[in-house]
This record gives sequence, C-alpha cells and structure tokens, in this order.
Amino acid sequence: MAGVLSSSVLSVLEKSQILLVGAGGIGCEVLKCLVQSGFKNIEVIDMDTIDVSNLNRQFLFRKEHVGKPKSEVAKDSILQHYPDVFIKAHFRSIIDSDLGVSWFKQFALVINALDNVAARVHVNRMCLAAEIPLLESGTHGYEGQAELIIKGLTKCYECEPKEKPRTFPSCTIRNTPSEPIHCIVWSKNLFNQLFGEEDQLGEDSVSPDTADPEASGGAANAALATNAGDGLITRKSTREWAKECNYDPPKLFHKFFHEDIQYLLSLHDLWNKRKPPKPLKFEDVSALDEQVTSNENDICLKDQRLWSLRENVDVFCESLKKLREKFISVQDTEKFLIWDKDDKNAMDFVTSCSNIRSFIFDIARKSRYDIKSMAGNIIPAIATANAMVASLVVFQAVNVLSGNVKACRTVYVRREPNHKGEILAPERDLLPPKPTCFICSSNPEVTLSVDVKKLTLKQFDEDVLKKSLNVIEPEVTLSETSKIILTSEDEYEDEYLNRPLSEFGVKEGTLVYVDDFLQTCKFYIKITERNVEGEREASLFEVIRHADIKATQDKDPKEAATNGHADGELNEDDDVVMVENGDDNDLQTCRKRKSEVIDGVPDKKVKIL
Amino acid sequence: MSVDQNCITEEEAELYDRQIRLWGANVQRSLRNLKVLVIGLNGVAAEVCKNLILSGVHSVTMMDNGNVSKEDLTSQYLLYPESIGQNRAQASLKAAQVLNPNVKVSADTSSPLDKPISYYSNFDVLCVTKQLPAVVVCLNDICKLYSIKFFSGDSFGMFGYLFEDLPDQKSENNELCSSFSSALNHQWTPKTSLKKRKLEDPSYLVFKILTDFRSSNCRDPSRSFEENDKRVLSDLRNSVLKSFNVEDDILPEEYLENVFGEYGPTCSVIGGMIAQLVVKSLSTDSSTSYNLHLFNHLRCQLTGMNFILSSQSKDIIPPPVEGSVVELEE
Repeated sequence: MAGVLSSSVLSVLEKSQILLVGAGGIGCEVLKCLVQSGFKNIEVIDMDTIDVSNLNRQFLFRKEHVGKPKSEVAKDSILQHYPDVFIKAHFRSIIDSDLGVSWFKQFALVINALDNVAARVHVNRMCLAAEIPLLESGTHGYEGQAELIIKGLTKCYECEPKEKPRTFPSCTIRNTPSEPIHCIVWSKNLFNQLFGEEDQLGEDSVSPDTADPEASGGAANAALATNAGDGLITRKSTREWAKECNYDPPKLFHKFFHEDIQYLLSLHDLWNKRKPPKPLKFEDVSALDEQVTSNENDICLKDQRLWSLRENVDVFCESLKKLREKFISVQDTEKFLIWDKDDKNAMDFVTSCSNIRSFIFDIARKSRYDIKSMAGNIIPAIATANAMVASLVVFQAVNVLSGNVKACRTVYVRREPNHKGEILAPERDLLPPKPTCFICSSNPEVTLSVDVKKLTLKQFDEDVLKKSLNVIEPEVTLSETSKIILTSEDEYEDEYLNRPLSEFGVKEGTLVYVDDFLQTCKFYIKITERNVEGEREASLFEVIRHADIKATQDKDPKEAATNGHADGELNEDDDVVMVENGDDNDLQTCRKRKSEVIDGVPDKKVKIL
Repeated sequence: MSVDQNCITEEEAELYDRQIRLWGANVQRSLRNLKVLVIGLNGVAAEVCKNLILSGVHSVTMMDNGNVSKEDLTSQYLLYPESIGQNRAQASLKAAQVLNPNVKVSADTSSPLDKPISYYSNFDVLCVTKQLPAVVVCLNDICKLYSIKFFSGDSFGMFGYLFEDLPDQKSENNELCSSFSSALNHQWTPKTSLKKRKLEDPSYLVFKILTDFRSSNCRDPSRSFEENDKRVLSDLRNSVLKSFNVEDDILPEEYLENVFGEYGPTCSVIGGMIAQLVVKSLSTDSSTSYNLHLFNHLRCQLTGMNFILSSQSKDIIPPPVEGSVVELEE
C-alpha cells in the first residue's frame, strides 16, 4: 500500500513474515495496523473461540461469530477489507511441541498479543532461543504498554519479576475462611470435586482439613475418633457419594453446610480466637430469611443486587439440578465439566455456595457480579487502550524491520498524563538485559527454598518446574553426581515420583540443572532448605528469582529514572508499572502444595485473549 | 425517560461487561444516550466511529461530502476495495453498523458548511477531522454556542494531533476558555515555558507546519506530489523556525519525512484517544488539564499542552491575532 512509508521500507515489510500470537483485544488491532502499514505475510495463532463479552472491543468479530475460532474469523474479516494480503490462521495453542525453535525461526518478527503469563513466558523463551525479535504487549483497563525484546540487547520478558498470583493456605479455605474470596475459592473447589476432571482432582480441597496444625491437639483427635463416620470416609469419595445420592440438593446442602460445619466446630482449638461458624439446616433456611439491602444506585444491573439467603439457596438447588443434567449428558464424551465464569449455571452455583458459606462463617456476602470478577479474575478491557497499544507495537515493528532498532522504546499508555503531559510515555532508552535474569543472562540461576523431606519429585516437576518456572519438557540433573532424575520422555512409576526430593540426594546447597528441550532453555536451581513442619500457612516451596532479591533489596535509581525523563529528574508521578493483560490462567491452582488459589480449574489449555 | 427504561438490559450487561467493570454502569447509561456527529470520514474518524460504536453510544452520524480514493483504503478500516469512487460516509455505513447493531449509525453526504447552525444542536459530541483549520475553528465556535463537546484530530502521515474542548471548562472560569484557534495561533515568545519544552519535543512546530500546509494548499502533503510537497514543507519549516525565533536543529528534518497521507497506526492512536476522552468526559470526576495532544511519531510520545483564550491578558505576551494567548499548566 502506498501513501505513507517510503518504497524502500515498504518492500522490506512486504517480504517479512510476521507471527502474531493472539487474536483477541490487542491482536485484532495489531492485525489491522500491520496490514494498513503494508505488511503482507502474517500468521496468526490463537486457541480461543469468540465470546459475547469480547465484542465490545474485538472489532473483527460479531455476534454471529460467537463460538468460532478467533484466528480464523479475524483473518476472514481482515481479508474482506484487504484482500491482497496473505494471512495464515492457526486455531491451536502456541505452547506445542510441534512449534519448536525451528518453526519460530521462519519469522522475521514475533508479536505477542496474549492475555496470560504462561504463554508470554513461553514465547519469550522461544524467541530468545530462535534469536527472533519479539514485541510484547499488554493492557489492563485504561493502561497498557508495548516493548521490544531482543536477545542481548534488551530486557527479556522474565528479567522483571511478575506479580505472583494470590494463594491461600488450604486450612484457611477448608477450615477457617474469613474473607469472601476464601468462600469463592472453596466453592470453585466444590464444583470441581462434584463435576470436574477426576484425574486432576488431587487431594480433597473442600472437606474439613484434619491435618490443620492448629487442630492437631487432643480435641482434634477426639473429634476424629467420634466423627470418623462422616469426616473421614466421605472425604475420600465426595464425587461417589454425590453420585449415590443423585446430587440431591437437600442432601448435598446438608453435608456441606451442616455436617461438615458441625465437624469443624468439634475442632475446638480452631475457634479459640475465631468466631465459630453456625451450621445451617436446609429446612431452617426459610425461617432465617431476611431482607437484603442493596446499593440502589446500580440496581439497574440485576447481577449487582445482593441475594437473600433464601434466594441463594434457591439458586443453589436450581443450578445444582442443571449442572447434574449437564454432567450426565457429557458422560459419553468429555465425562466432566470445566468451570467457566461465562457458564450461567456454573457461575450461579459458585455464587450461591459462596454466599451460603459466607453466611455460615459470618462473612460479608457479595453480588453475583462481584463474585464473577473474583472467581473469573476478570480484567477490564476497552477498545481504545487496545487500539493505542497495538499501534505502538506496529510502530516498533516497522522500526525493527527497517533497521531502526535504536528508535524503539518501551512505551506506556497511561490513564492520566504524567508530569510532562504524556499520555503515551516512552522510556528514554532501550532497557538493557538484567544480569540476574535466570532466562537470558549468562549465569542463569534461581533459588528454590523447599522442604526437601516433604516435596515429592512429582510435585517438583508439576508445581515447581511447570507451574512456577513455566518449563514444558524438562530434563533434570543433579549437578554434583550428574545423575538424571527426571526426563520428559520417560514414564515413571508412581512409587518413584512420590518419593521426596531428599531421597534423591537433594539437600541444602544442591545445584539442580534443568534443560528444557522445547524451549532450549537451561538454568540451575540452587536449593535452600526450609522446614514447614507444624507451620499452618507455609507452603512447601518458594521460588526466589535473583531479580526479585535485587528488586526488594535495592531499588535501582537508574531504572526509576528511565521512564521518559530527558532531564534526569525524578518525579513520583511517573511510576508507570508493567501491566499484564492477565486472565484466569495466571492464577493456576497449585493443588498439591497445600495451597489454593483463585482459579482452581484444572485448565490444560492456555487461553489467548 | 423513566429510570426503568434507562436501565441496562441483561443483553447490554453481557455485551459491555468488560467496560462496565472499568467505568461503571452510570457511565454506560450516559454513553447510551450520547449522540455523536463525526465530520470527515478518513482514517482518524473511522477509528473514532469504530471505538464509540463498539462502546455503545446512542447514535453516530457520519458526515462527508467527498468520495473514496485508493489512498483512503490504507488507513480507513470501514471501507472496502469496491468503495472507491463512492461517497465516503455512505461507503463506511455497512462496516460501521455491523460493529454494534444497538447503535443507530447513519451517513450524511453534505458538507458541514451547508448545514444551518441549529443543526448541530442535535448532538452531544462533535468530532471533526480532515477539515481546513478555519472550518475547524468555526465548528469549535458553534459547539461553544450549544455546549457541545468538541473534538478534532488528524493524522498527517505518521504525525498526529488531537484537540478537545469541553463546554464545562468555560463555566469553571468565565474569563478563560479553550479554543482551537488559540492552539493554532500560539505565539512563540521566550517567556513562554513552551520554549523550554520544545527543546525536547518539537511536535508543536510540526503541528504548525502541517496545519499551515493544509490552510494554504487546501490539501495535505501527499506522496503523489512528493517532490513538490517536500519543497513546500521545507519552506514552511524555515518560516516557522524563523517566526518562532528558534535554532534550526530544534526541528530535525526527519520529523517531516513520513508526514504524507494518513497512517493507520497513527489513526489508531488519535482515534483511540479521542474516543477515550469522549468516554472520560461522561464521568463525573472528569477534569481536563490539556486541550491539545501532539503525537511525536519518532518517539511514539503523545503529549498534552494547554492553550487557553483569555479576555484579559495576564501574561506579558504580545497579543496575537484574536485575543491574547496565555499558556497555563506547563
């Protein structure tokens, strides 16, 4: 297309093969800007399908496209306006053994328009390995940013610590909730216990936790002895028990909101300093019914009204009935349900369960609207911020490919102008790589603080390596002995995987070498021991990135000054932060590690917004 | 209108969920009553229309009396290859309407100058693009008359600007009012702090050169007349530097290299920011500190400035054309 760019730049753009990862809010806008700038060869990959709530900003999609693959519809919509470009659409995840480093190498440039950390981290590593420039982008409400990542020249996506998802100790969720979010997490766990994928269930995350250190005194043992009937036997088979009683709402209600609560009450030590819960009987609900006053201003949105106890119980029964029917109908196919905030019954179930449990524990109840935000970790998103970020991405794409890398800067879209009046605020310079980064530095190392007598090899593989460090196909070697303890190709017996790390010789000071075949990413894990015996809220491990240590120990003044201060002065207004266009998957559950997080769904796929 | 009728429906709550969670149900209700007129259906206007239609305003009227050229297609998403030769507003109608069937979208093929002044009182928001600066000033004045929210913006190739004038600004302080003509006719004196700023960012000079180009040539710089236009731009650059009494190296030549036609990504920035300011103007706590935003395309920096027309000059700046210009908030 003629018009703006010089013909020499245009001829480069026409020849360049671009990979766009994500056809959501930012992706749609990037695709349009790329084509309008003169790019002709674009591959777009997205594993997501279109939802109604996308339509307020993902302008390439319309109501009749709901349920269809984003990448394919985006391609078709663009081609109607610009028929002479070549777009290849992939309806699949970018995290895929088939899409290795050599596949990435075919592109001149990769653009991330993603909504979750796991996929961003993966593409970051693939581009570093393939030595392909990566443009990374994200928005959060009114704010956003676009940045260039080139190996050796700039920071990589993992040079800066990411905000960790909020996690909650299992005991808090199962025994002593004190905030609405605890009840919401519990309710999502209950959904999975009743309807989720059985292989992924792991240990019970709903019933009272008898291993609670605070309840381990005489009282708990006494309670165990007297209450073994419903306390221990049913917790092993919540699903089977629910099936046997045909998901009868009053029966389930009785177990979860009366029996289990009675059992918790019998763990007297728990209630020495806490307000004890009140077990609730199904038949008593009508008598307890009350009027709930709601915020009149926003009464317009039905979901923003608080429900009375009676309404919650009615919704509980109704949604349970519907979910049961749906669960039975999928027995010949998927065999399980996936919790989805946009599924009416699943959302109704979590709202009502959460509010009933909140009633029992005397915690503030929430509207369905608010619970949806928390349970689904909804990030607000608007067309305008996405359009501006996408445009900044494409400005940089043109710079990179026309040999003008030096002109590229991380640019922030701000909600309000900074002290210099900038709404779009660029950094002063390209930001150099961090020497402490465990991915892109020459000394790649992280520290793992871990209870080596408790954490099993399986937990190490799934929770530490895959969920926390985002590796895909790891081979794990103990440096001292060169003993390989885990590879991604071999199948292992449970007996082997369930052994704690200490049995493999892992101890204080051990260096564990991790090599990921797909990402061709290699780093060391330095072990320091922790002991969680008797600690109620401690998790079995914590990954400590060396960049994290540095960030908390000394706040680098140079870094604070780099955000567009030509005059070098510091100004507190200028605290633009990296924002993520996060989603549900940012909050993955770490079920095995005595800790529950918001999104408890066993979600194998990585969604792209 | 009764409260019930004005309630957000289930369908709307679902469709607009991600933005209601950001700006709240009240702003969404105000949006639903908002009548928008967009003049000049080029790239920036198409982005404004797209973003506001997606957000769920009451209506968008697209006004343009020109026809679609091949060049328009590169930056105006609402057009199709077969639109060439058709009226720009008419040709944009189909793609604009499918963005959101809840919004009333219409096309008007007349020129803004053909309309009686009272016509504009039908709208809450006016957004002007691709008009001669004198026309923009005139429309700005009409909006003041009817307390209509006024926006204008353009992409000159990669460079871009947008201007905002909200009626409330005047009522806060009767002496001062924002106007496009004050932004356009700003006088350069060593006393203005703008001089300090321009050492970092020469965007205002680029804005001046390009609006002068449009005023005197009745068109924008184009690759079709590249040789000629480069020469004209170079002359304008010299005269602007001279009139502002600043050194040659303040404005590197490269700032004028990619200012031809309209550029899609710049339209996204300008059109995105205009739409965002429209939404912002609906929230009760909206305050505007800048009325002119300049997009420095070499740095991807969008910087606000404030130009205010004062009846009593408080500064010692020699009065320019109409009224005196003081610059606040620097």
